[in-house]
This record gives sequence, C-alpha cells and structure tokens, in this order.
Amino acid sequence: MFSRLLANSGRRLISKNSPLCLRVINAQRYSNAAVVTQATNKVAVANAYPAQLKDWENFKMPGAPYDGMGPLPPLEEFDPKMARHYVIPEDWFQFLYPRTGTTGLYTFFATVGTMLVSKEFYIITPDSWYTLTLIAVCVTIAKLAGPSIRNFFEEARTDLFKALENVKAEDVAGLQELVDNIKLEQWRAGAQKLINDAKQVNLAMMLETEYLNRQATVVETIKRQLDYQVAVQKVDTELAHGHMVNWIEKKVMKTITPESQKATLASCIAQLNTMASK
Amino acid sequence: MAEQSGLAVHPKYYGAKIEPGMKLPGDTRLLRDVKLYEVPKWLMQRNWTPLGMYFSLKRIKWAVHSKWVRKRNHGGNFYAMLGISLGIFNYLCEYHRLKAERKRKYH
Repeated sequence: MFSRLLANSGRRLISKNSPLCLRVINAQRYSNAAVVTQATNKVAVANAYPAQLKDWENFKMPGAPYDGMGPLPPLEEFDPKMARHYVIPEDWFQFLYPRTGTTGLYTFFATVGTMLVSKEFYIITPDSWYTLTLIAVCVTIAKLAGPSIRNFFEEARTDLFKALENVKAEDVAGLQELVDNIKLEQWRAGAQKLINDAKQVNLAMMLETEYLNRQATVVETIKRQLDYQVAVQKVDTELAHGHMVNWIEKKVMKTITPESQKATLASCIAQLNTMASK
Repeated sequence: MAEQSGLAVHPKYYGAKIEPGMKLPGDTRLLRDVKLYEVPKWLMQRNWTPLGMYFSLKRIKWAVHSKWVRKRNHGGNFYAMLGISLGIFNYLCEYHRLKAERKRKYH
C-alpha cells in the first residue's frame, strides 16, 4: 500500500534535461486534473476573443455588464464653430436669435453685466484687475503659441500612424505596379493572338494556292496524256492516208496509157470549145 | 428619445436595450418646451431621491462630454468653460465675505 502510494505520489524523477520521450511519458502519467482544467479553460477563454472578429456589431465583450458596451461607431469630428470666442456655445446665440437677432446674447450679457456691477453683485476689488490681466495673458498665449503647441502634440500622436500609412501606401503602390505589369503582359499576349491569326490566314492562302497549283498540274498531265494519244492517232491516220494516197496514185499512174491520155485531151478540148461558144 | 437635442447620447441609457432597473424620466421634454403653468407639475414629477439626483448628475456629465469632449480632435473649450464656471461658483461662495469691500452705500 505504501509502496503504491509512493509510486503514485507524483514525485517526478525526471527533470528538464531528461530525454523528451521520457518527459512526455512522465507528463502523461503524472498529469494533474487542475492542469487539464486550466488548459481547457484557457482554450475556452481564448475562443471568447477570436483572432478574426467578423460579426463585430453583435459582439458581446466577455464580462461586460450591459448591452451596448460593445464596439461603438467612431466619434464625430470636432467643429470649432460650436463655441464663439472659445467659451460661449453657439446654441445660446441661436436660442435668442428668433426674438433678438444676432446681437441678442451680447446685449443680454452687456445689460446683465451692467446690472451686476451697478448693484454691486460683482464688486470691483484689486482681484478684478488680476482676473482681467489673467484673462488677457491666457488669451495672448493661446493666440500666439496655441497652434504650435497643438501641432507639436498632434505630430507626436500621429507620426506613427503616418509612417504606417506610408508603409501601406508603398505596398499598395508596388502591388498596383504588379497588377499593371500583369495587364501589360496580357495585352502583349493578345498581340500574339493577332500574329497567330495573320499566320493562319497566310497558311490558308498558301494551302489554297498549293491546291490550285496541284489541280493545274493534274489537269496538265492528263491533257498531255490525252494530247499524246490524239497525236499518235493523228500520226497513224496520216500514215495510213499517205500510204493510201501513194498506193492509189501508183495504181492510177499504172492505168494511165498514151491512148487514154489523148482521148481525154480531145474530150477536154471539145468541152472547152462548147463553153467558149456559150 | 435620444434623437432630441439636449439628451445625452450614451448607449447605456439610450441604446437599443435599456437596463430593466434603470428608468428614464417619464416626461422627456426639454425645459424650454414645458409651459410655465406646467413647471411645478414637471418639478414634482422628477426623481428627487438621492439615486435620482445621482442619475441626473450622470446625465449632465454625459451630455457635456458627448458635446464637447467625446469628439475627434476636440479643443480646450471644455476646460476653459469649466475654469470659468468654477471661478463663478467660487465667487458666489465667497460673496458674503466680499460684501465688506463694497464702495456704494445705496444699491
């Protein structure tokens, strides 16, 4: 019993310098339940803050006491015209405008001020001189150094943002250049299409011409063959014709005798005489 | 209700869902829109318990802040107005000590 207790007490004889496999086996063997629950809780807590928040309008902050604590719309831009002379709100002027016009509030302050001073609700003491000088000094400092101080703090606040925006702009410009190059290459590839079309047309024309040429050669060869046959036939007929003519002439020359020659001559002369008399 | 001017626009009170324990004043008209003969009635209708007074202070704070402070690139108008109002408040508190320095006998 005690040996089993010792064996399962969880005392680890393996340190961080032990081999990894032994450390893994040891961890699996002596893993505590608390560690496991902590791990699962960590996982649950990690998922409550997802890395990519897509539905941010309906996101509920874990541990938030009320609805509407979530992401709010961005703040409006401040309009310095909301306050006249830096301290008097414009709404007060607009409140009196329908009855008194533009100078309503100034008249109101002037009359109320004279009332206060005359009835000594506002008492003129040495302190009043101090207040006036304080107001004058504050106003002069604000007018002379205000914008520069404001610009200083604004630059201190926005330098980082501007740098980041410049980085982003440079990256965007580089990517835009890449996109333009890709479009250019596509356009150039389109030019290749035109070249290919022209080549196809050329090829078609060349094929057509070759076809016609071959057709013509075929016709020519057949015609030559036929002409040969015709010439051969002609030669045959000529030979036969000539031979026949020679043979006939020979035969005829054989039959011609001097008596027959005289007889024919006399008949011809008689005919001629009859024709001359007509 | 929150679209009217003069009311603080904070989602806690004037958001889509209003907390069940937190009740708005029943009459949410601006004081300039309340008739003179209705003013005592309007005053009696307000919540004059300590918690109600605390809520009214909270509403005032959120109104002023929403208008002057919770803006992008706001200026020092709020702080100047705060200084002037604190000066006036201090003068009112110290007036009975300044009465001895008055110059005129009859007012």
